[in-house]
Amino acid sequence: MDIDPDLAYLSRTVDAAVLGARIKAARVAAGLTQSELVGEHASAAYLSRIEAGARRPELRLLVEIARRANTTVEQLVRGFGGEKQIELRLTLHRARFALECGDPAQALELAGSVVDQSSSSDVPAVVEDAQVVYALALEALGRLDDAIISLEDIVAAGPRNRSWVGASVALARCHLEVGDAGRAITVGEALADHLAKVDLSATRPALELARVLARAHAERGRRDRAIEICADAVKAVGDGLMSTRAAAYRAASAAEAERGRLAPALILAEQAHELAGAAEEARVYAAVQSQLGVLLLGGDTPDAEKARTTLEAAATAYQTAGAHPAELADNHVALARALLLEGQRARALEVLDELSGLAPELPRLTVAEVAVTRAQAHAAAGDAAATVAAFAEAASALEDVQTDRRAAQLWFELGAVLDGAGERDKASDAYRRAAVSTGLTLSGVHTLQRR
Amino acid sequence: VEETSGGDGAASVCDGNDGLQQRLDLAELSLNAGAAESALGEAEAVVDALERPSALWTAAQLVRASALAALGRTHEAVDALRQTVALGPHDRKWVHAATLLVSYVREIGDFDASIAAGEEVIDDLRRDGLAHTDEAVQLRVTIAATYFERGDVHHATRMCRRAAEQAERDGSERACAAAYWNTSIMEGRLGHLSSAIELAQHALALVESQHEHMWATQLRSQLGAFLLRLSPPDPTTALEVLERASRDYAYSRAPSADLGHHRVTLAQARLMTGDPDGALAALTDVLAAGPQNQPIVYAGGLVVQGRVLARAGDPAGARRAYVGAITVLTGIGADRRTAQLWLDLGGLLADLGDAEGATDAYRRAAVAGGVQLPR
Repeated sequence: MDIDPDLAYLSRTVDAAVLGARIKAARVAAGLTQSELVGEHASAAYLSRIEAGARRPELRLLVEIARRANTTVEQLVRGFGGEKQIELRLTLHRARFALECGDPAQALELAGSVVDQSSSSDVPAVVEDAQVVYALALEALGRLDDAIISLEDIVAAGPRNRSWVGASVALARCHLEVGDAGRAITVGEALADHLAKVDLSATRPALELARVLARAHAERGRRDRAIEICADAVKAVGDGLMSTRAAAYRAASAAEAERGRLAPALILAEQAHELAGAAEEARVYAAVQSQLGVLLLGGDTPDAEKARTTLEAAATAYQTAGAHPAELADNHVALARALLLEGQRARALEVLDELSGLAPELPRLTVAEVAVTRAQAHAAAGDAAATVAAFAEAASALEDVQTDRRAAQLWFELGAVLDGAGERDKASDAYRRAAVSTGLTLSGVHTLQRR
Repeated sequence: VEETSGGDGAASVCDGNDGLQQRLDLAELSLNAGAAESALGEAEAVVDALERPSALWTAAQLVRASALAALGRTHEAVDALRQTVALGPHDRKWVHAATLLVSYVREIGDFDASIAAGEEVIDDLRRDGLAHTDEAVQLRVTIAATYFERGDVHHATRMCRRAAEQAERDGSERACAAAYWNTSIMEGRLGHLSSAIELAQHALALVESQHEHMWATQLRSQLGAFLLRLSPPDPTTALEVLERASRDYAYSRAPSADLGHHRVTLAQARLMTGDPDGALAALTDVLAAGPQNQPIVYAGGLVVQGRVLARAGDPAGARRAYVGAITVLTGIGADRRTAQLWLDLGGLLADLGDAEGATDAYRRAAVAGGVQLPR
């Protein structure tokens, strides 16, 4: 317990009735009962006497009360949070906004300044939120190792405020991004248990978690479990989507306006607007649907038809929700592959052609994935010249990508396509690059330096 | 990834029970001399003679479990260690028992259970105030090794680096060296050779200052292997380090698996520095042993032999050696080392003009490296 000596002194001298009233106000504002505020640290009857001004809490209990009521000892003893508190909260808002607007460097700087300026007398939730925003900014900047170190400390501290859930999802996602699928599952499943306990299984964080967990299970070869997770999330969230509710509010508002009842129309319109983040939630929902489609394509017995209909539904959902270019491309590539499995080569190529305008915005790995799928479509049609052209496009994109499992997989698929097309030398080169992309090294035993 | 403990006398515990202590000392001596059956009998007699778990009991269980593992009865060793971790007094030997448990459960292939067993003890260590001991660091890097094997490679290297930082803060050079060495092996397996070499050199300096001779020898052998895989390779420095390790191995009781890998690496270095005869001499024991016990070492030996023959203008002999390696590799499961050998073979077969063989070897290298076969 690290408390300013002045505050400790004040806590023993402040008028007990004034202090009691402030504690009661803080408790009511936090929506806690007397028992909830003191927990196992004191009885509700004792708190009742404190609130009435008949007793003065000892410092240790006061610290606990402040923590549980999400305030500070300073606010309880002095009765105001001070300019600094307001400033910290404002800076944190700016940091969050910068992150949402795609400026993680600015978010990092602002959140870092909140963490640096904070002290033990500050509202813990503000400091913890700032730490989470800081870690998320690290993630957005691609500094995944630093993000994981920050997030591990936050998650290990346990669920103390709302931002903890976001931190846990981010930690699982970062583990997955660096390739540690098993660790992502451990972290993700602990969070899934927590969300189920607090009845938050049908929320946006739960959807985001489902995406991470499904990918992680798929990477560890547990495709059935991955499909189950996506299907459950789609089912649990489908009817309760905020965007669906927002749409309902908007429709009701329009109906009221048509009847000329403007006041209730305005209230309904405001309620629709308040469901902020609805589009983002719908986008994540579409992404989970898309992932389900991808999973249905995998394994020894792919269900091409079901995959195609799921991916088409995801494409429609993306159209209304607005997708990130890379997400849309992933969905289209999977859709094209489903169509290829169904023998619809022309339609598959059309789907891939829809992405041509997006190419400059796509990661190089995704560009390669599009080209590999195109090569597969041409090879299936027996068009050797077009296959080799698509191979060249894919190879050029893959050469820009660092060694990575997905790149290895793509090189391998290219090798298989070229082998089938009788292009032995190119196939050999693609297989060799696949092997190297898994992290193997070419040096040492070779007498010749290969290109 | 292997754990490095630098040799830990399991048995010396002052428990006020001299007779049993002597029997246990004897059991440990037998175990070190390779007489695992006799060590097991003595250790079990000590365990049975003790009425309740004590420091001596834990020490006897450690010898018992090690003897069981040496006899290939790993599941029984795991049972003994689970019992020790559940009932033993929380001291340093207890942490050592937990470390062995983590590595034996990993050997069985149940990575999730191995991690769970270790992390449970880590939580206890924090409560018991034992989190800053050498043994705790050793446990952490052992759990990290399981994470690595499970595929959580970044989490594993991060755990090792954190363990090294803690050991440095605590001023424990031995624990620090163990953490650096494990991180080095992981970085090497990830293809980050410069980092692996730097960490291995750091660990080697610490180990030399502690006079841990066996450990230093193993580290030199590993360092030599990393230097050969650099791009471009540094065979001259590698040969220097490997020849020194060879001299030290001659006076030590090295596990045969270590020695086999070392000889193949030495042969590579000699070949790359223009000494094909020396390379073949280093391979004599490896090739004579055949593929039964250490198929990967044997296949690696054949690959180097093939290269010697190719250089001597005998492509048919080289091809025979490579085909021998292919036959061995085809019969064993896939892991990183077999993947690396397939990749090497692909390049060597291409050098011989065998395009079909090279394509197949590259394809197998990718699959052994973790690529999924497309439908």
